[in-house]
Amino acid sequence: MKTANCKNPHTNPTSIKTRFALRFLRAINNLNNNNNSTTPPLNSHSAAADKRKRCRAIRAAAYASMASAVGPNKAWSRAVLRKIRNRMKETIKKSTRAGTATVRESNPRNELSFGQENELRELVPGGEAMDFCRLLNETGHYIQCLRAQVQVMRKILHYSST
Amino acid sequence: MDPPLVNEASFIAAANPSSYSLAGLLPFPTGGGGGGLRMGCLGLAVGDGSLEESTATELSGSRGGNGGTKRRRDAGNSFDDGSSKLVSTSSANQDLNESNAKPMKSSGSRDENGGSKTETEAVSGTSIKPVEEKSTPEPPKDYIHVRARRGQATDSHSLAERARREKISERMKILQDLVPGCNKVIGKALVLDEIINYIQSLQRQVEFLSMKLEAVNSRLSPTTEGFPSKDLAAAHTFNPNGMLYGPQTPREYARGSQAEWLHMQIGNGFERAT
Repeated sequence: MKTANCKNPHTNPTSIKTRFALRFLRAINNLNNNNNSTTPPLNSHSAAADKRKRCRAIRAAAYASMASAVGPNKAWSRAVLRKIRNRMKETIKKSTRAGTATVRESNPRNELSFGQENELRELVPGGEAMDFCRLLNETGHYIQCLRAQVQVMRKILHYSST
Repeated sequence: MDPPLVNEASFIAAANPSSYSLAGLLPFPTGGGGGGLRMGCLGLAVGDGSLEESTATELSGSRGGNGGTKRRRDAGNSFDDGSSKLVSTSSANQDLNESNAKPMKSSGSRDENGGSKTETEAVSGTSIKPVEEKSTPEPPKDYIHVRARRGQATDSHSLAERARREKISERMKILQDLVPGCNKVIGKALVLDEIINYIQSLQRQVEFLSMKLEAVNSRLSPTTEGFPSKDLAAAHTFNPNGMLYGPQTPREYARGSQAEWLHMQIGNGFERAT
Protein backbone atom coordinates (compact mmCIF):
# COMPACT_ATOMS: atom_id res chain seq x y z
CA MET A 1 0.00 0.00 0.00
CA LYS A 2 2.77 2.35 0.85
CA THR A 3 4.61 1.67 -2.38
CA ALA A 4 1.46 2.24 -4.33
CA ASN A 5 1.02 5.45 -2.48
CA CYS A 6 4.54 6.60 -3.23
CA LYS A 7 3.80 6.86 -6.93
CA ASN A 8 2.03 10.12 -6.52
CA PRO A 9 4.16 12.36 -4.38
CA HIS A 10 1.45 14.93 -3.88
CA THR A 11 -0.91 12.53 -2.24
CA ASN A 12 1.68 10.67 -0.28
CA PRO A 13 1.54 12.13 3.21
CA THR A 14 4.94 10.86 4.21
CA SER A 15 6.63 12.59 1.36
CA ILE A 16 4.79 15.76 2.14
CA LYS A 17 5.98 15.42 5.68
CA THR A 18 9.57 14.99 4.64
CA ARG A 19 9.47 17.85 2.24
CA PHE A 20 7.85 20.05 4.80
CA ALA A 21 10.43 19.05 7.41
CA LEU A 22 13.30 19.81 5.09
CA ARG A 23 11.99 23.18 4.12
CA PHE A 24 11.00 24.11 7.61
CA LEU A 25 14.38 23.23 9.08
CA ARG A 26 16.12 25.15 6.38
CA ALA A 27 13.91 28.14 7.05
CA ILE A 28 14.58 27.97 10.78
CA ASN A 29 18.28 27.79 10.10
CA ASN A 30 18.05 30.85 7.93
CA LEU A 31 16.12 32.67 10.61
CA ASN A 32 18.70 31.73 13.18
CA ASN A 33 21.52 32.95 11.02
CA ASN A 34 19.76 36.22 10.46
CA ASN A 35 18.96 36.60 14.14
CA ASN A 36 22.49 35.87 15.22
CA SER A 37 23.96 38.32 12.81
CA THR A 38 21.52 41.17 13.30
CA THR A 39 19.71 41.37 16.62
CA PRO A 40 21.31 41.15 19.99
CA PRO A 41 18.43 41.91 22.40
CA LEU A 42 19.01 45.01 24.48
CA ASN A 43 16.35 45.41 27.14
CA SER A 44 13.35 43.33 28.19
CA HIS A 45 10.78 45.20 26.16
CA SER A 46 12.61 44.96 22.90
CA ALA A 47 13.44 41.35 23.74
CA ALA A 48 9.77 40.54 24.11
CA ALA A 49 8.95 42.30 20.88
CA ASP A 50 11.79 40.49 19.23
CA LYS A 51 10.55 37.21 20.58
CA ARG A 52 7.05 37.84 19.25
CA LYS A 53 8.48 38.81 15.95
CA ARG A 54 10.59 35.68 15.72
CA CYS A 55 7.66 33.55 16.78
CA ARG A 56 5.60 35.03 14.00
CA ALA A 57 8.43 34.52 11.59
CA ILE A 58 8.67 30.86 12.55
CA ARG A 59 4.96 30.40 12.11
CA ALA A 60 5.06 32.11 8.75
CA ALA A 61 7.98 29.88 7.83
CA ALA A 62 5.96 26.83 8.88
CA TYR A 63 3.02 27.83 6.71
CA ALA A 64 5.21 28.80 3.81
CA SER A 65 7.23 25.62 3.89
CA MET A 66 4.04 23.59 4.16
CA ALA A 67 2.57 25.36 1.17
CA SER A 68 5.72 24.98 -0.87
CA ALA A 69 5.91 21.32 0.11
CA VAL A 70 2.39 20.82 -1.15
CA GLY A 71 3.17 22.64 -4.33
CA PRO A 72 0.98 24.77 -6.53
CA ASN A 73 -1.52 22.03 -7.27
CA LYS A 74 -3.79 23.01 -4.46
CA ALA A 75 -5.60 26.28 -4.22
CA TRP A 76 -4.98 26.78 -0.54
CA SER A 77 -1.20 26.41 -0.88
CA ARG A 78 -1.22 28.85 -3.76
CA ALA A 79 -3.18 31.27 -1.62
CA VAL A 80 -0.78 30.90 1.30
CA LEU A 81 2.22 31.50 -0.89
CA ARG A 82 0.61 34.48 -2.52
CA LYS A 83 -0.35 35.90 0.85
CA ILE A 84 3.14 35.51 2.21
CA ARG A 85 4.64 37.07 -0.85
CA ASN A 86 2.30 40.01 -0.58
CA ARG A 87 3.03 40.35 3.11
CA MET A 88 6.73 40.40 2.42
CA LYS A 89 6.13 43.24 0.03
CA GLU A 90 4.05 44.99 2.66
CA THR A 91 6.62 44.47 5.38
CA ILE A 92 9.14 46.08 3.16
CA LYS A 93 6.82 49.04 2.89
CA LYS A 94 5.38 49.15 6.40
CA SER A 95 6.15 47.36 9.60
CA THR A 96 4.76 43.91 10.47
CA ARG A 97 1.15 42.94 10.38
CA ALA A 98 -1.02 40.29 11.98
CA GLY A 99 -0.33 36.58 11.63
CA THR A 100 -1.26 34.36 8.74
CA ALA A 101 -4.10 32.51 10.35
CA THR A 102 -7.27 34.30 11.33
CA VAL A 103 -8.15 32.71 14.62
CA ARG A 104 -11.84 33.10 15.29
CA GLU A 105 -12.81 32.96 18.89
CA SER A 106 -16.58 32.89 18.91
CA ASN A 107 -18.41 30.08 17.26
CA PRO A 108 -22.09 30.23 18.00
CA ARG A 109 -23.72 26.87 17.65
CA ASN A 110 -27.06 27.97 16.37
CA GLU A 111 -25.77 29.61 13.25
CA LEU A 112 -27.02 28.89 9.79
CA SER A 113 -25.02 26.75 7.47
CA PHE A 114 -24.31 29.77 5.33
CA GLY A 115 -22.46 31.54 8.11
CA GLN A 116 -20.54 28.38 8.84
CA GLU A 117 -19.66 28.09 5.21
CA ASN A 118 -18.28 31.61 5.32
CA GLU A 119 -16.34 30.77 8.43
CA LEU A 120 -14.84 27.78 6.71
CA ARG A 121 -13.97 29.99 3.76
CA GLU A 122 -12.11 32.30 6.06
CA LEU A 123 -10.26 29.45 7.71
CA VAL A 124 -9.10 27.74 4.56
CA PRO A 125 -6.67 29.99 2.75
CA GLY A 126 -7.87 31.10 -0.60
CA GLY A 127 -11.33 29.77 0.05
CA GLU A 128 -13.15 33.05 -0.36
CA ALA A 129 -13.98 32.67 -4.03
CA MET A 130 -14.49 28.97 -4.31
CA ASP A 131 -17.25 26.62 -5.21
CA PHE A 132 -18.53 24.81 -2.14
CA CYS A 133 -17.53 21.40 -3.50
CA ARG A 134 -14.05 22.63 -4.18
CA LEU A 135 -13.94 24.28 -0.79
CA LEU A 136 -14.69 20.96 0.86
CA ASN A 137 -11.98 19.30 -1.20
CA GLU A 138 -9.47 21.90 -0.24
CA THR A 139 -10.57 21.70 3.36
CA GLY A 140 -9.85 17.99 3.41
CA HIS A 141 -6.40 18.44 1.99
CA TYR A 142 -5.71 21.38 4.23
CA ILE A 143 -6.66 19.41 7.32
CA GLN A 144 -4.34 16.62 6.30
CA CYS A 145 -1.49 19.00 5.75
CA LEU A 146 -2.08 20.89 8.96
CA ARG A 147 -2.02 17.64 10.84
CA ALA A 148 1.22 16.61 9.17
CA GLN A 149 2.64 20.01 9.96
CA VAL A 150 1.73 19.72 13.61
CA GLN A 151 3.27 16.27 13.81
CA VAL A 152 6.51 17.31 12.17
CA MET A 153 6.80 20.43 14.25
CA ARG A 154 6.26 18.42 17.41
CA LYS A 155 8.88 16.01 16.28
CA ILE A 156 11.36 18.76 15.59
CA LEU A 157 10.61 20.35 18.93
CA HIS A 158 11.10 17.05 20.63
CA TYR A 159 14.44 16.58 18.92
CA SER A 160 15.74 20.02 19.64
CA SER A 161 14.54 20.22 23.22
CA THR A 162 16.09 16.96 24.33
CA MET B 1 -51.20 66.20 -65.85
CA ASP B 2 -51.82 67.24 -62.33
CA PRO B 3 -55.46 68.33 -62.43
CA PRO B 4 -57.06 65.10 -63.64
CA LEU B 5 -55.05 63.13 -61.22
CA VAL B 6 -56.12 65.41 -58.49
CA ASN B 7 -59.65 64.99 -59.63
CA GLU B 8 -59.41 61.30 -59.71
CA ALA B 9 -57.85 61.18 -56.39
CA SER B 10 -60.43 63.50 -54.98
CA PHE B 11 -63.06 61.48 -56.77
CA ILE B 12 -61.90 58.33 -55.17
CA ALA B 13 -61.70 60.13 -51.95
CA ALA B 14 -65.16 61.51 -52.55
CA ALA B 15 -66.42 58.08 -53.41
CA ASN B 16 -65.37 57.03 -50.00
CA PRO B 17 -65.73 60.25 -48.15
CA SER B 18 -66.71 59.30 -44.73
CA SER B 19 -64.55 56.57 -43.44
CA TYR B 20 -60.92 56.54 -44.28
CA SER B 21 -60.52 53.05 -43.19
CA LEU B 22 -62.90 51.99 -45.89
CA ALA B 23 -61.37 54.41 -48.36
CA GLY B 24 -58.04 52.97 -47.58
CA LEU B 25 -59.26 49.46 -47.87
CA LEU B 26 -61.08 50.03 -51.12
CA PRO B 27 -58.57 51.73 -53.48
CA PHE B 28 -56.30 48.78 -53.65
CA PRO B 29 -58.78 46.11 -54.51
CA THR B 30 -61.16 48.26 -56.56
CA GLY B 31 -58.86 50.75 -58.23
CA GLY B 32 -56.46 48.00 -58.99
CA GLY B 33 -52.91 48.63 -60.05
CA GLY B 34 -53.72 51.81 -61.95
CA GLY B 35 -55.09 53.74 -59.07
CA GLY B 36 -52.42 52.63 -56.79
CA LEU B 37 -49.72 53.49 -59.28
CA ARG B 38 -51.18 56.84 -60.05
CA MET B 39 -51.44 57.62 -56.46
CA GLY B 40 -47.89 56.66 -56.05
CA CYS B 41 -46.94 58.93 -58.97
CA LEU B 42 -48.95 61.60 -57.40
CA GLY B 43 -47.13 61.27 -54.24
CA LEU B 44 -43.91 61.64 -56.17
CA ALA B 45 -45.17 64.47 -58.41
CA VAL B 46 -46.60 66.37 -55.55
CA GLY B 47 -43.26 66.25 -53.92
CA ASP B 48 -42.43 69.54 -55.68
CA GLY B 49 -45.14 71.48 -53.99
CA SER B 50 -45.10 69.49 -50.91
CA LEU B 51 -44.28 72.42 -48.72
CA GLU B 52 -47.47 74.26 -49.48
CA GLU B 53 -49.50 71.16 -49.40
CA SER B 54 -48.02 70.02 -46.21
CA THR B 55 -49.03 73.30 -44.69
CA ALA B 56 -52.43 72.79 -46.28
CA THR B 57 -52.71 69.37 -44.76
CA GLU B 58 -51.74 70.70 -41.43
CA LEU B 59 -54.24 73.47 -41.68
CA SER B 60 -57.00 71.48 -43.27
CA GLY B 61 -56.51 68.41 -41.27
CA SER B 62 -59.50 69.30 -39.22
CA ARG B 63 -61.56 70.36 -42.18
CA GLY B 64 -60.68 67.56 -44.48
CA GLY B 65 -61.99 69.45 -47.52
CA ASN B 66 -58.93 69.94 -49.75
CA GLY B 67 -58.05 67.62 -52.54
CA GLY B 68 -54.41 67.68 -51.75
CA THR B 69 -54.98 66.63 -48.23
CA LYS B 70 -57.27 63.94 -49.38
CA ARG B 71 -54.73 62.76 -51.86
CA ARG B 72 -52.09 62.65 -49.30
CA ARG B 73 -54.32 61.11 -46.79
CA ASP B 74 -55.42 58.58 -49.27
CA ALA B 75 -51.89 57.80 -50.12
CA GLY B 76 -51.02 57.63 -46.48
CA ASN B 77 -54.06 55.63 -45.76
CA SER B 78 -53.39 53.26 -48.55
CA PHE B 79 -50.02 52.59 -47.13
CA ASP B 80 -51.33 52.53 -43.66
CA ASP B 81 -54.10 50.27 -44.67
CA GLY B 82 -51.68 48.03 -46.36
CA SER B 83 -50.04 47.56 -43.07
CA SER B 84 -53.28 47.51 -41.25
CA LYS B 85 -54.55 44.98 -43.72
CA LEU B 86 -51.55 42.93 -43.02
CA VAL B 87 -52.17 43.40 -39.41
CA SER B 88 -55.79 42.57 -39.77
CA THR B 89 -55.07 39.57 -41.91
CA SER B 90 -52.39 38.52 -39.57
CA SER B 91 -54.71 39.04 -36.70
CA ALA B 92 -57.33 37.13 -38.57
CA ASN B 93 -54.81 34.44 -39.13
CA GLN B 94 -54.01 34.59 -35.51
CA ASP B 95 -57.64 34.26 -34.76
CA LEU B 96 -57.82 31.37 -37.11
CA ASN B 97 -54.73 29.94 -35.67
CA GLU B 98 -56.05 30.46 -32.26
CA SER B 99 -59.34 28.96 -33.12
CA ASN B 100 -57.48 26.16 -34.76
CA ALA B 101 -55.01 26.01 -32.01
CA LYS B 102 -57.58 25.86 -29.32
CA PRO B 103 -58.76 22.41 -30.16
CA MET B 104 -55.19 21.44 -30.87
CA LYS B 105 -54.11 22.83 -27.59
CA SER B 106 -56.89 21.16 -25.80
CA SER B 107 -56.09 17.93 -27.51
CA GLY B 108 -52.45 18.50 -26.76
CA SER B 109 -53.23 19.21 -23.19
CA ARG B 110 -55.35 16.15 -23.16
CA ASP B 111 -52.44 14.20 -24.52
CA GLU B 112 -50.20 15.83 -22.02
CA ASN B 113 -52.65 15.06 -19.33
CA GLY B 114 -52.49 11.51 -20.46
CA GLY B 115 -48.75 11.54 -20.21
CA SER B 116 -48.43 14.20 -17.58
CA LYS B 117 -49.77 12.02 -14.88
CA THR B 118 -46.52 10.19 -15.03
CA GLU B 119 -44.80 13.53 -15.29
CA THR B 120 -46.38 14.88 -12.20
CA GLU B 121 -45.41 11.68 -10.52
CA ALA B 122 -41.88 12.23 -11.66
CA VAL B 123 -41.96 15.78 -10.40
CA SER B 124 -43.24 14.71 -7.06
CA GLY B 125 -40.64 12.02 -7.03
CA THR B 126 -37.84 14.48 -7.63
CA SER B 127 -39.19 16.98 -5.18
CA ILE B 128 -39.46 14.36 -2.51
CA LYS B 129 -36.16 12.77 -3.29
CA PRO B 130 -33.76 15.32 -1.82
CA VAL B 131 -35.66 15.08 1.42
CA GLU B 132 -35.48 11.34 1.46
CA GLU B 133 -31.87 11.34 0.25
CA LYS B 134 -30.87 7.74 -0.14
CA SER B 135 -33.82 5.74 1.03
CA THR B 136 -35.29 5.03 -2.44
CA PRO B 137 -32.83 6.06 -5.12
CA GLU B 138 -33.76 3.59 -7.81
CA PRO B 139 -37.39 4.16 -8.88
CA PRO B 140 -37.21 7.95 -9.32
CA LYS B 141 -34.16 7.67 -11.50
CA ASP B 142 -36.21 6.15 -14.31
CA TYR B 143 -38.62 9.03 -14.15
CA ILE B 144 -35.79 11.47 -14.23
CA HIS B 145 -34.45 9.80 -17.29
CA VAL B 146 -37.80 10.22 -19.01
CA ARG B 147 -38.16 13.78 -17.85
CA ALA B 148 -34.75 14.73 -19.10
CA ARG B 149 -35.95 13.97 -22.59
CA ARG B 150 -39.14 15.97 -22.25
CA GLY B 151 -38.36 19.29 -20.65
CA GLN B 152 -34.65 19.74 -21.08
CA ALA B 153 -33.87 23.00 -19.37
CA THR B 154 -35.33 22.63 -15.92
CA ASP B 155 -34.34 19.04 -15.78
CA SER B 156 -30.72 19.63 -16.53
CA HIS B 157 -30.73 22.24 -13.79
CA SER B 158 -32.33 19.99 -11.29
CA LEU B 159 -30.10 17.12 -12.30
CA ALA B 160 -27.03 19.27 -11.97
CA GLU B 161 -28.24 20.48 -8.62
CA ARG B 162 -28.83 16.92 -7.51
CA ALA B 163 -25.37 15.85 -8.69
CA ARG B 164 -23.84 18.78 -6.86
CA ARG B 165 -25.68 17.96 -3.68
CA GLU B 166 -24.56 14.37 -3.86
CA LYS B 167 -21.00 15.48 -4.44
CA ILE B 168 -21.17 17.77 -1.43
CA SER B 169 -22.59 15.10 0.81
CA GLU B 170 -19.95 12.66 -0.38
CA ARG B 171 -17.20 15.10 0.41
CA MET B 172 -18.72 15.90 3.73
CA LYS B 173 -18.57 12.21 4.48
CA ILE B 174 -14.89 12.10 3.57
CA LEU B 175 -14.25 15.10 5.78
CA GLN B 176 -16.20 13.45 8.53
CA ASP B 177 -13.85 10.51 8.32
CA LEU B 178 -10.94 12.89 8.33
CA VAL B 179 -11.92 14.84 11.39
CA PRO B 180 -11.70 12.67 14.49
CA GLY B 181 -14.76 12.39 16.60
CA CYS B 182 -16.93 13.60 13.77
CA ASN B 183 -18.43 10.28 12.79
CA LYS B 184 -21.05 10.36 15.47
CA VAL B 185 -22.19 13.85 14.61
CA ILE B 186 -25.33 13.99 12.52
CA GLY B 187 -26.32 17.00 10.48
CA LYS B 188 -24.47 19.12 8.03
CA ALA B 189 -24.28 22.16 10.26
CA LEU B 190 -22.81 20.28 13.19
CA VAL B 191 -20.31 18.51 10.96
CA LEU B 192 -19.22 21.82 9.53
CA ASP B 193 -18.92 23.14 13.03
CA GLU B 194 -16.70 20.26 14.01
CA ILE B 195 -14.53 20.76 10.95
CA ILE B 196 -14.15 24.44 11.69
CA ASN B 197 -13.24 23.76 15.28
CA TYR B 198 -10.75 21.16 14.22
CA ILE B 199 -9.02 23.46 11.77
CA GLN B 200 -8.92 26.20 14.35
CA SER B 201 -7.38 23.87 16.90
CA LEU B 202 -4.79 22.72 14.38
CA GLN B 203 -3.91 26.28 13.52
CA ARG B 204 -3.63 27.13 17.17
CA GLN B 205 -1.37 24.15 17.65
CA VAL B 206 0.85 25.36 14.85
CA GLU B 207 0.99 28.74 16.53
CA PHE B 208 1.82 27.22 19.87
CA LEU B 209 4.47 24.96 18.39
CA SER B 210 6.10 27.82 16.60
CA MET B 211 6.19 29.68 19.88
CA LYS B 212 7.83 26.71 21.56
CA LEU B 213 10.24 26.30 18.72
CA GLU B 214 11.15 29.92 18.94
CA ALA B 215 11.89 29.57 22.64
CA VAL B 216 13.98 26.47 22.08
CA ASN B 217 15.72 28.03 19.16
CA SER B 218 16.66 31.21 20.91
CA ARG B 219 17.91 29.23 23.85
CA LEU B 220 19.95 26.89 21.72
CA SER B 221 20.72 29.28 18.92
CA PRO B 222 24.47 28.74 18.90
CA THR B 223 24.13 24.99 18.88
CA THR B 224 21.33 24.88 16.37
CA GLU B 225 23.75 26.16 13.79
CA GLY B 226 24.81 22.61 13.40
CA PHE B 227 21.20 21.46 13.35
CA PRO B 228 21.30 18.01 11.78
CA SER B 229 18.68 18.84 9.25
CA LYS B 230 19.73 16.22 6.76
CA ASP B 231 19.74 13.54 9.36
CA LEU B 232 16.41 14.63 10.67
CA ALA B 233 14.94 14.67 7.24
CA ALA B 234 16.35 11.25 6.58
CA ALA B 235 14.86 10.03 9.81
CA HIS B 236 11.55 11.45 8.68
CA THR B 237 11.76 9.74 5.36
CA PHE B 238 12.79 6.36 6.53
CA ASN B 239 10.89 6.18 9.72
CA PRO B 240 7.73 8.11 9.33
CA ASN B 241 5.66 5.66 11.29
CA GLY B 242 7.96 5.76 14.22
CA MET B 243 7.21 9.40 14.82
CA LEU B 244 7.19 10.22 18.42
CA TYR B 245 5.03 12.89 19.78
CA GLY B 246 6.44 15.54 21.96
CA PRO B 247 5.24 15.59 25.52
CA GLN B 248 4.03 19.13 24.95
CA THR B 249 0.37 19.79 24.39
CA PRO B 250 -1.19 16.58 23.31
CA ARG B 251 -4.44 18.24 22.39
CA GLU B 252 -7.69 16.44 22.37
CA TYR B 253 -7.94 16.13 18.63
CA ALA B 254 -4.48 14.99 17.75
CA ARG B 255 -4.50 12.35 20.39
CA GLY B 256 -7.21 10.23 18.91
CA SER B 257 -6.15 10.65 15.33
CA GLN B 258 -2.57 9.56 15.12
CA ALA B 259 -3.19 5.94 14.26
CA GLU B 260 -5.91 6.83 11.81
CA TRP B 261 -3.78 9.40 10.13
CA LEU B 262 -0.92 7.05 9.46
CA HIS B 263 -3.11 4.50 7.78
CA MET B 264 -5.11 6.87 5.75
CA GLN B 265 -4.90 7.39 2.06
CA ILE B 266 -7.55 9.96 1.79
CA GLY B 267 -5.37 12.09 -0.35
CA ASN B 268 -5.88 9.57 -3.06
CA GLY B 269 -9.57 9.61 -2.53
CA PHE B 270 -9.61 13.34 -2.85
CA GLU B 271 -7.62 13.26 -6.01
CA ARG B 272 -10.00 10.79 -7.52
CA ALA B 273 -12.99 12.75 -6.43
CA THR B 274 -11.82 15.82 -8.27
